[in-house]
Amino acid sequence: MDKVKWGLRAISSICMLIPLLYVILPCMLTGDFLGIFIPPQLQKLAGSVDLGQAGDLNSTFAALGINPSGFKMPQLVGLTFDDSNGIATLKLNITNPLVCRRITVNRISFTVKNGTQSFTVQLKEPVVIEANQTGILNFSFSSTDPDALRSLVNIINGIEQPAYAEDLQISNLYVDVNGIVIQASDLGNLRELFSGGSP
Amino acid sequence: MKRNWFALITSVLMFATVVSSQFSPWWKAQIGSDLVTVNADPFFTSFNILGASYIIPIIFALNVGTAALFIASGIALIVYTVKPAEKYSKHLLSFGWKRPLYVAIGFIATLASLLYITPTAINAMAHNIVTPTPIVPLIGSSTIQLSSNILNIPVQITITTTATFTYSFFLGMVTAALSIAARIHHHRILGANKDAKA
Repeated sequence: MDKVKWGLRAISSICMLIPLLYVILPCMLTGDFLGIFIPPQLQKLAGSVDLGQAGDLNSTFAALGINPSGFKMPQLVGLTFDDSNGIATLKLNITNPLVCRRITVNRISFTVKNGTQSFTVQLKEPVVIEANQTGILNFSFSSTDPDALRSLVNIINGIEQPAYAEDLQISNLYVDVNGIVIQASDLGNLRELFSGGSP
Repeated sequence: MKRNWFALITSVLMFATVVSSQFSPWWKAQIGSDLVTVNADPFFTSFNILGASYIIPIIFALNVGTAALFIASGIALIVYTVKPAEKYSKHLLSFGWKRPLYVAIGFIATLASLLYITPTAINAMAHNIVTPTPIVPLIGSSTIQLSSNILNIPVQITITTTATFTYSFFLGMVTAALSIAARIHHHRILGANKDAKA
């Protein structure tokens, strides 16, 4: 009976030891101890961080499923307002740098304040940017006050320049992209925001 | 001769558990909407960042070892079921019935401790990140909050995390429960077989 008992103990040891040795031994022989804990695809990343090899950024991004040449700021193509349905459409030329993942803009909303008056602008429906896609996408916005939204579009386009345009404040920004929510309670003055200045 | 059907069903479910793990991990956690996915499983653990899949070598080795041991234990239980009254059978049962229980307890204990240790480590290293404890709930959803400045504007970044146990986990739990039943049933079988011989 001891043979069976010892045989089963041997099976237990073999089952656990062989895979462990298969992974650990090559790493020990080459002195690459990080290889035991870090996935092979990410080893280049760890190596470049350790050695401060900024020049190898491309392979670092590639290891993370990001196309380095796809990093471009969205470019404004146009902003229009449709009087028939009260919807503002923002056209942006966007590149998704993610090789395998789509980007979904689930929600964008913000409040525009002008003195005592305020109105909310929100994305009408989610926008999907497919993996590695470059193209012009339409972001449709609706508002609690369509007339105010029309004025806002005209102000941004430079068609209208009312006196209150100088005091337009943007607040309560809520952006949800792929489940990551960015919130800012106060973005400051609209003009400063568009001119790239700090609020 | 009476047979221990609980042991036979347990062994079949043990094979089924290993196979189902290849298709559905025991526990799945998502950070954001599929941005980062953690597939925790005693037989095949992996994680996914921005659509690219990664396997940690040491965990892979432990997973392969556990799967091999699990299958060997299932085979031992089948041999035991064929000849439950043999003297060596108690060793086979002892080798086989404990495995699903050990794997289930070990998996839950490891997972729970990692979920509690990770946020403590993150909070100690990065002070602007507020990670909840546990970092991801065992079941349900939670949020990780970061405070940052984008273009000199203070912003609050919230990342939603969701986690769930899949049918593979529940299959593993049923297997563990049946393995206990097989162990309890063993004594009855021995008694019944002795009576039959007499």
